[in-house]
Amino acid sequence: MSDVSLDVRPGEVVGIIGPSGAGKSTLLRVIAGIESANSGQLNLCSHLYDFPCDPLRLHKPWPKTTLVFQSLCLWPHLSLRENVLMPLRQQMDMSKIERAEEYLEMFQIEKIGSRFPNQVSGGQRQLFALCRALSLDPDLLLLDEVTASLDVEHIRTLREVITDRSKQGVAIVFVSHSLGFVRKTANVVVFLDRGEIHENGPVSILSDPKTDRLKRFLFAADELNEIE
Amino acid sequence: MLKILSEHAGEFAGGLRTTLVICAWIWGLGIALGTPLGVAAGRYRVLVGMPVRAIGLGLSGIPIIVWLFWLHYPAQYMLGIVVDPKLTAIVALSTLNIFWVADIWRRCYEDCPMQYQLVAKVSGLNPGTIAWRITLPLVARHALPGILIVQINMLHASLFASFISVDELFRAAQRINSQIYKPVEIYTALAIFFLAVTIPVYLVANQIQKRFGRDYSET
Ligand SMILES: Nc1ncnc2c1ncn2[C@@H]1O[C@H](COP(=O)(O)OP(=O)(O)OP(=O)(O)O)[C@@H](O)[C@H]1O
Ligand SMILES: [Mg+2]
Repeated sequence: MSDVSLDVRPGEVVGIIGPSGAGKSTLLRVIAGIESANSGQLNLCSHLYDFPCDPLRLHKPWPKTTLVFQSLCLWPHLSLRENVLMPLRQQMDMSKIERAEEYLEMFQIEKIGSRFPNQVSGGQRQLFALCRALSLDPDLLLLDEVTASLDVEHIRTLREVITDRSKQGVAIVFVSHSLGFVRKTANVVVFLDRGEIHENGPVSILSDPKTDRLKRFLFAADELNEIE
Repeated sequence: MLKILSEHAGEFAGGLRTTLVICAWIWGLGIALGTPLGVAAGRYRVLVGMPVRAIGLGLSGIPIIVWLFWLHYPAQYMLGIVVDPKLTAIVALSTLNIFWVADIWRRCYEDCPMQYQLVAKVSGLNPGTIAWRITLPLVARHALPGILIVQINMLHASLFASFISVDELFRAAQRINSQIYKPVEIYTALAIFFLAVTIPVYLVANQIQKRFGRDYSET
């Protein structure tokens, strides 16, 4: 990646789009402080990190900053409910555990909490990973491929949750291949290709792109819409 | 056959008891010391991991019988001491068990996908909780079958040690020794021979494992 500069404020919702292999996940991992960059700076909740540095030796920004991985990474030896509750138990915060149960009900997955990650569908796994991150009540929430295997109704619930969280001052950066979702949910859109930000700005850049690269990308999306 | 068994029932029972006592020590020491050693080797790959690998390689290179034998006779001869054969067997086999168990843990730690620790970290779990609740259960799942097999081998070896090696092999060694009178050289040469044969095989196996056993985690 090169020359990437991004500024996210509390309550802001940033949607990252771009082709496969563009570096979207990598960018989220760098922001999350689990991967180092060769050079540059990261200012996370008033802590300044100078790259390159060993990410493990940083002042730890978690779980105030947290990330839902593209591969979800639910712990396979724990039940799904335990996947969500275990990080909260350590914080000994009963209100967060109650919030977690509310999130599970909101996404209608509270009944399958006793199963293990390999005993539910991909979309259900994604909802549990999402609930695990949401329940931590982060200030900066990073979501990779957040809509990947969700149905339209759950995506609607997710949009409501994201909007609600951002109203509470949570900054959210998500990656999605669903342009409709990005258009409806994000305040700021970032178009990433080959490790570079080609274009970023308000959602309007999706209807009025300035760069050729984004125009071509959106043209492919329009073709898909016509097929549908 | 049955006659022999019944006539020597007392000796067999004694042998079995000796075996079980020896074995209990070997199992206890191997798992109690091998586990923390292996965990340390997995965490500090250079500082602890490399020596554990090297010693484990050396010990695996020598067949148990030769190792047992060597500690019985040449080692004690060189040091000018005489140790109770049972104690020698416990020392010899526990050492093996400790390093074999440690090596299994080390390997499983190195194979454990990083992604589960990463997601634990971003979920704010502290290092202790990550080690106990995430890494250990995931690693133990893979380590246990191997450790069990090693324990069974240890049982066989201690049977062997109490029935044969302690008395019979000791006498055999003395007999050879009385004929050639160079016990240190004989057994040391034997150990080196076995090492020389085993190391290339070990290296090839290691290469194959590196090729096929790499970390498959995606994050
Ligand atoms: N572990 C890795 N080692 C080496 N290169 C990697 C690794 N992970 C990703 N890459 C490379 O880095 C680039 C960016 O990958 P990244 O995962 O950030 O893409 P992405 O934009 O998230 O793609 P997708 O939409 O498919 O998730 C890609 O070209 C990829 O091949
Ligand atoms: Mg990705």
